[in-house]
Amino acid sequence: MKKRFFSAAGAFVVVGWLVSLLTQKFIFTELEESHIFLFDSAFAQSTLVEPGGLSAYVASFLTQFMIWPWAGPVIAALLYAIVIFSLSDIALRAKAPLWLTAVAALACGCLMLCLENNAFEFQGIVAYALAAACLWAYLRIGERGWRFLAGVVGSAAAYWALGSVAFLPAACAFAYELVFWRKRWWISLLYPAIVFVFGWLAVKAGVVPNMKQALTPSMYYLWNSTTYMMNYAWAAMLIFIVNVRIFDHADEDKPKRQLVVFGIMAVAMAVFVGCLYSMVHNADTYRVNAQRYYAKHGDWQAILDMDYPMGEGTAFTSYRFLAMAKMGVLGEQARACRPYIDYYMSNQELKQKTDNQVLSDVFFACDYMGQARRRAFDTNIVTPGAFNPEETKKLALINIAYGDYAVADKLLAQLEKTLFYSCWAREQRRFLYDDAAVEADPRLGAMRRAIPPENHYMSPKGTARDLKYIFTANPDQQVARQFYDLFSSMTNIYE
Amino acid sequence: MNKILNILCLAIVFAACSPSVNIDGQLDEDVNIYPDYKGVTIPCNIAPLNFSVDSAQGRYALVLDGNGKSLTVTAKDGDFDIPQDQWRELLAAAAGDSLSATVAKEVDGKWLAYRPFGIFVVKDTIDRMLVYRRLPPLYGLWMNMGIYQRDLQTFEETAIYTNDYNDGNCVNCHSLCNRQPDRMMMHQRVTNGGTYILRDGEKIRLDSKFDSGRPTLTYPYWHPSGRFIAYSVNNIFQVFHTSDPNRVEVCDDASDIAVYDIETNEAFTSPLLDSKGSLETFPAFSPDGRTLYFCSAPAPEAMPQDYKDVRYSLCAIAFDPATRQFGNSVDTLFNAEERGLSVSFPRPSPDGSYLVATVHGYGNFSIWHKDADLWIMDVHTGDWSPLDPANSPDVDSYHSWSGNSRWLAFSSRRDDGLYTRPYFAYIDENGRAGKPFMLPQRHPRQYYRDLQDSYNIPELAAGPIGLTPAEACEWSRQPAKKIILK
Repeated sequence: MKKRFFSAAGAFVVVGWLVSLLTQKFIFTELEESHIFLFDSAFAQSTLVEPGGLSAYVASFLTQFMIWPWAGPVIAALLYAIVIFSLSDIALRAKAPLWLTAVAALACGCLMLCLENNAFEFQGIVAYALAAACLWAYLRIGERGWRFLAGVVGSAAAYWALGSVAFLPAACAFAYELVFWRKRWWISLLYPAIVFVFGWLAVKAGVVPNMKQALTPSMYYLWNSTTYMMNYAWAAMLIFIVNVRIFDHADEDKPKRQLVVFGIMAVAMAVFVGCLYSMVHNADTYRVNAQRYYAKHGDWQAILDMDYPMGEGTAFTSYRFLAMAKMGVLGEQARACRPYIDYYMSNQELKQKTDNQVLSDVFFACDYMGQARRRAFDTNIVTPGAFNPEETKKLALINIAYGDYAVADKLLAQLEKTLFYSCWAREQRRFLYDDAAVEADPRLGAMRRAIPPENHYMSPKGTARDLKYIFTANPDQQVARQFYDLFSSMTNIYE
Repeated sequence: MNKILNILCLAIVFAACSPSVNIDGQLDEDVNIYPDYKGVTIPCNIAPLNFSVDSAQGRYALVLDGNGKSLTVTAKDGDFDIPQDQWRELLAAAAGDSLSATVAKEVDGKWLAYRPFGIFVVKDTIDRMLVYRRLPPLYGLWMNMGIYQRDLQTFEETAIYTNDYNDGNCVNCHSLCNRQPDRMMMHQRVTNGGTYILRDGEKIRLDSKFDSGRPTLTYPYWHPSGRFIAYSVNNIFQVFHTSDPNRVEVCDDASDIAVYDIETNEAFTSPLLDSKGSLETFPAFSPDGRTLYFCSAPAPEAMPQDYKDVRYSLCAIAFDPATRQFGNSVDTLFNAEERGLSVSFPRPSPDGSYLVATVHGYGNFSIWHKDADLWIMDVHTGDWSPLDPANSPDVDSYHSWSGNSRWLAFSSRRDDGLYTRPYFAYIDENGRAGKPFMLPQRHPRQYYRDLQDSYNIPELAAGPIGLTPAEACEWSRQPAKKIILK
């Protein structure tokens, strides 16, 4: 029986990993840039002091490894494993039917869908996994007195460590005690009550904005969202706990029937998750994340190989242009690209993070320093913690090129506290306050030469003129040259 | 049991005592510290001026002497954390005199002292709170920002309103009436947008937009009576430089001034403050409430092309609060054309003796102008001079006076050229400034280096503002009143 349960749970974890790898690989690489983890006591202190601080800290720690595209699915699968194995073991010990593992997997499927929403914080998945582990640990305690003590203390501690999701194991523990009609089950009513009180105190103390955020999944969203997939994951755990009692002992002596029901439930859950996936999946976002990943690694051909019509997504088109420029074909295909260029020329006041991020990449590749600085700056601002490592790297270089060394110093100091960017940051230190070293460096020297000595205001109409200056000052700057060819083909329209 | 208590008492007594440091020798050099507190003038009620020694490794000691009272602190790697109680006692003893600060480093078991430096302690106190907006330097987008208050006597900072309470909307332009914590206002943009006025417990939410299609209420200044708030109404846009160190320009292509009457919910103006041919902005009332200062420049033909030629003069117009009438003429107190300079943010001292403004080469948004400096005007003579010991080569801009007219809080980018930090300068009765000091923090080097935010609009307040983010959020759900434009 035990073997069957754990085989089923293991199978779901493998499926979770595979689905993550195939459909969400680049969401994780984007997550890596949206989170900050600093090896710094002040960072630990400021994170851990908030409700949900431990889960936020662990989530930040884990996301830094998502710099490798394979790591995200592995980390996610491990967290799903904690959920599925914790719940499966609860079901097993309660002699519940095998198909309940599919309900546990449903919870993970919903967590997986949460990642499709760019307002969702990875902290939510970590908190959920830890909440499932807490519930499992609680139900493992046999002695009633200790169990109630653990429930009371654990509910308070879990709120501060995990955040609003602490309400879930508290409610599930109470539901479990109730449905099994355990002696003095009513004491467990204290658990959700304690979480409620702590949530209320957090609001009163001003560390959480309102009761909705204090006690519901919205705590794990950066802003109001139309699709709270975490709601489904919460509901799945509650349904699971109630069904542990309702369907206990049902099929223990009929293994074949048990497997058939399990199969039906697994398919039903998969279909359900599939339907939700079609609701929340944004193909444009996924493609742009993929392009951004390829661009970061200089795989321009992979961007050109992406089978997607240009002009369907503005950010997509921008990366496509950049890849064409890098491959040296943008200029010659300028005429074909003309219908899609409006994006650059008219959208000077872009309010979306993705657009700014794309444009900062494009302008940085062109050494169009003023625009790259502006866009990278704005992208950094709208990243939680105002720190996006890739944009910060760009900004550090741009500030070095401009000679704003004190600002570059500050940005490098931040990067030095990270795991994966610290070596790079330390290497750049030699350029600080050393104009000769900057000018002698091929990259930074070219960037500095690309700054026009005569200042003017940047404007859409002036883009072609500015690009021309850049490749005139540095004939090796072929990306600027390619974009110039594209823009100058439009001069009759825009000048 | 008694033994344990005795040991505990002894431990407490020892812990409370300053560590003993005997200076064994002198180093013939000055110590470099961050923040630069050498020779600064401070009030006798400020939080400890903790600092750290540049590139320090090993044990360091700080010996502070003032009027016969002494305090010694030791610190690893020269990061001094001065005990607050002992600091207060020391300041009380040294008020009206100066502190001598000696930094020593331990070398082979011996304490070697750098040349000592002085800190001037004046008896004039500074208001207890500093209210500011904290946000990363930004252009078009924003995410986290909030209005905070900091107790200047301790290191405690509390939030008044943060935008995680309001779906990430922009909160800005907070202003206090005569530094009174129960009379403040702020704007909120986008969702639940409007102007929020707190007056003696009453919470008012205004729709900042006029029906007539005029721009929204922008830069505020309270009338000392607390009945009126003067606003500029501006059409603001940004343009970005390719290579100018100023990075960005924030320009007005239209701006006028209107005064809002809280009691009647009416806004009124004068043709002299509301003309098409000129840009009027940054209003400020005199302490007696009978003069309205403002900045004015002829409207250029083309913006932003002509922006470098736009220079704002400081003007004044009479105002009668009883009749709500403005005078018929405008005095020019700082002639931009003659001086070839532009003026922003006029702020008269509460005693009416001086007026400090930001002066810079052109335009009005001085916070992005590296040449921006504070200038002081003697109100009685009309003489202007740069507030030089307070100024720096980088931006020195938005400022506010203390209630006793002896302190000026202002923001400056001198630290790193981008992130604004609050500074405080002493202004003596002759209008001369002392060397300013940066807002103290418990661990200033780490704090300011890690902080990705700028301090925006530092306003001194007499006491803590009794508004929490949750209350402010609740307030934002209140229906907004339409202003009646007279």
